[in-house]
Amino acid sequence: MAWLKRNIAGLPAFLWMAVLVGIPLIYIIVLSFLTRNPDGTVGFVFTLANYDRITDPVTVSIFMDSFGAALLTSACALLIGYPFAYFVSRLDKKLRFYVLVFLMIAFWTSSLIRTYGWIIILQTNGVLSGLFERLGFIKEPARFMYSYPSVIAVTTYMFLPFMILPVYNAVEKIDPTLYEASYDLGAGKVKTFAKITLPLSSSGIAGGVTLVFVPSVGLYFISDLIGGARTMLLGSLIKNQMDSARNWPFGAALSVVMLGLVGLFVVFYLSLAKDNGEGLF
Amino acid sequence: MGHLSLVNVSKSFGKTPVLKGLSMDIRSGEFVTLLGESGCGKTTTLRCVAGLETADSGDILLNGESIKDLPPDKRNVNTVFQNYALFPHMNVYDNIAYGPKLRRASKNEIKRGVAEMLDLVKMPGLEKRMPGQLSGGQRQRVAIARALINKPQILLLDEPLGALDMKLRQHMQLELKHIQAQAGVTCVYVTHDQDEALNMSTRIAVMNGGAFEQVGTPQEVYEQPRTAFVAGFVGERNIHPVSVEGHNGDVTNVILDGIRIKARGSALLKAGDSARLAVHTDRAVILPQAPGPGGHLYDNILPCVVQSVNYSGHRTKISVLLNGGITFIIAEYNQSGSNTTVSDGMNAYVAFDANEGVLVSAV
Amino acid sequence: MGKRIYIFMIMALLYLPVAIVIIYSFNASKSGAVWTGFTLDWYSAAARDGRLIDSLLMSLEIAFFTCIISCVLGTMGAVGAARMRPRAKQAASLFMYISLIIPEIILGVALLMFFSVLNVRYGVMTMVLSHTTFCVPYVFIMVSIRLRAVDPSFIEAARDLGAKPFKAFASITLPIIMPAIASGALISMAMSLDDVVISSLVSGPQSVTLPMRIYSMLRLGVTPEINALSTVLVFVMFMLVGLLQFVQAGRRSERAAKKEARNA
Repeated sequence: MAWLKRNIAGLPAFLWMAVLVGIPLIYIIVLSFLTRNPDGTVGFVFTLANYDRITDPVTVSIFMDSFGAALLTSACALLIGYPFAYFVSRLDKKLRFYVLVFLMIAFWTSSLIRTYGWIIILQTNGVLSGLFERLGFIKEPARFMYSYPSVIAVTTYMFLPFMILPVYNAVEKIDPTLYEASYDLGAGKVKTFAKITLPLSSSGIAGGVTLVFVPSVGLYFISDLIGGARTMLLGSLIKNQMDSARNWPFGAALSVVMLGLVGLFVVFYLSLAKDNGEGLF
Repeated sequence: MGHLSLVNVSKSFGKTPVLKGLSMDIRSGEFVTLLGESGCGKTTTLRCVAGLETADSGDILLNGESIKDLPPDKRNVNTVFQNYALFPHMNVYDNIAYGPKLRRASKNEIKRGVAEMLDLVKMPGLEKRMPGQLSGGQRQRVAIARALINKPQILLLDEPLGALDMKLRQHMQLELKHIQAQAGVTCVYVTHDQDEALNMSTRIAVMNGGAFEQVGTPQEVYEQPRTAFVAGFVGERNIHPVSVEGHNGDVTNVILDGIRIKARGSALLKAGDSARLAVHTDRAVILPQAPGPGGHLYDNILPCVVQSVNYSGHRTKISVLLNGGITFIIAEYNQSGSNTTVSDGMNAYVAFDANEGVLVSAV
Repeated sequence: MGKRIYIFMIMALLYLPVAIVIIYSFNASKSGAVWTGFTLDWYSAAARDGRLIDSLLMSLEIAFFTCIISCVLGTMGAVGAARMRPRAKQAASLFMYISLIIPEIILGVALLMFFSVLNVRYGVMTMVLSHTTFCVPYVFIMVSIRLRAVDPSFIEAARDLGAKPFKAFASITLPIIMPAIASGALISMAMSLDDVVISSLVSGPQSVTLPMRIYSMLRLGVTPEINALSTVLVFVMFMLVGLLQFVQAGRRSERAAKKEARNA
């Protein structure tokens, strides 16, 4: 009774999440061991075939491509986002406020629409092609879409705010007297950055990399719209199993393996981040 | 005005006892201070009276009626919290009016009450300020006004001056006494600061380990400590184990490490008992030479060697070694133009009267 | 100076695609990047397209229910967690954080399979259930962070001054966490209006939202109506986020005032 009284307010929310996140996640694990009937329905017969199929070279290469793309995206976002966050933290107060507000607005603008903007820019006869033509770089209309680099570029663009915000929050919290102390003790600008700023912002970097890496592994609409049919990534593969291929047990197995790998990555990465800030790079 | 009685109040957190059978009567209009180190149970006592904690056993009576099991909103007792706990989203007016509004007082009545309270705490005209825009001292005043407007039987104050700097703290001590006199409310005050306790209280209850060590007026607690804890906690004293030799009229003779010392008479001790001798650092003096005839005749004059002399503004602390190897500290008040006459390594004499040597039980 | 140029370039890059979409929504040319003149035709074409309007209304309906349910659940969860024993509270928060970082596609797949085994009909209800599921953790976290500003002594003071427990909650806790609830509401609304991945998995034939419609149109090729519609959607989001910033800026200035008073 006392237990109920203490926990009653939180109960609905946690029940909701348990039923709609916990149970479904357990259910896809179960489903991943079942078979697909010829008519696309699920047969309740135990099998390991779905996992066996993941070791197929085609699937393995899709996994490699997806995780590779996510890693590359995280690295690019860090490379571009860290200096940005660092510079913003040193702006004067008013300017900083405006930059942050506009960053938030960009962050919350529909990712679909922003992807669409890139299509207009990158497509054949698109904005970029027209610009290059006018500048004389190219003679024929060119197409910048449907390639691996364009998918990486657009994904990086999409998740840049996810990197910037946590890094900014960490850098902004560093006590400026620490820089002064470091200069006072004879460290130069570079040394100070390496020994003070970077380690003290490691929590922000850890957060940023996690926030970019995790969603970019499974994101399918950027690769679908920008990469086209040639770049099949994990998200699209899973989505296909759910709609057109209608092989739910295989889709479930793919999801389970993906979630497991992502979870391993996050746990491993965050434990590195906890032990030692320098392990992050 | 309220009369508060604690009757054998006990409380434990889990298996740890924090209050061990406290009993005390607080009369109407008194200003009683619970004095002790952090963790001694003084705040818990206050919270039991406020209803924010419930005592496990014993009883708490307000004007003769038990309030032990009433919820805090049913007790006519109000608290000034340590961090003031001003509601950050309400301005000064709404903070103070919070209690009367809950009692559905009329708008005019509330307006008058708030104005009256702001006058009392000397903050008229600041109704519209938010707590975030007030200084520490002002927040303190609002917290007092917010409690007093409810005309509580008892006002509880939990280290209300702890967050203020020293100057402001001393000023607020006087102010608080003044407000108490004007409002005529019984106050129970919690602090770990002995100066505050000595300055403000009609009575002090020194707490240690969840029990009252001694309850008495500031003079009693300061001059006649009854336990070694009180002797050590209130004032600055030299405390050393001694054995009792015998009584001689108003004086009890004791032996401190082979040295015979005359101490204030204590009827509770018999010859052969062990006890502790407590001497205030500022009630002993240091003499460069043994006093000649004509000077004040101290009851105890002990040869010593000066170890260190530390100047600290209004006084100088001198640490000396007695013959037996016992360290003794003397605080001399400084006056302009007259500095202490001793220096490190000198031979000198420590002197004090028998009445300044208080004997307390050994435990 | 170099720093400011870098900041400016990145900001410009962030807004470039959005700006392009807006600019081209006024372009008379039906295809390609060539500017052939100003027109509002695409807006009227979009407004006449019944299916687009239907899906816009569907989006708003789902976002509305999602927003309300998420706010109630998330707030209750945060307030409830704050009252739990430390162990339980830690576990509860961890669970919320984990739900937050589960990749969208996997949450969508899991929900789809779960609804299917329960034989639930796909439609507005499954959409609202799913959207609420990914919004609740956001509200929970925002309110939890704000709840740290509610010192336990505030509640004790309210009780001490004569408030009953619920009154103390309503007059002290609720007003203090209100900005966080408002932020949570706006974020839930924005996320629900924006979602494609989960929606396209759990929707039924009658519950096609605007982003889903835009997505399927995009796969067939670029049309200027999408520009017009996207521009409208962008402005709706601008307004939501602007409102959010307004709410949070108010809180920031409150904090700044507090800081100043402390330094004074």
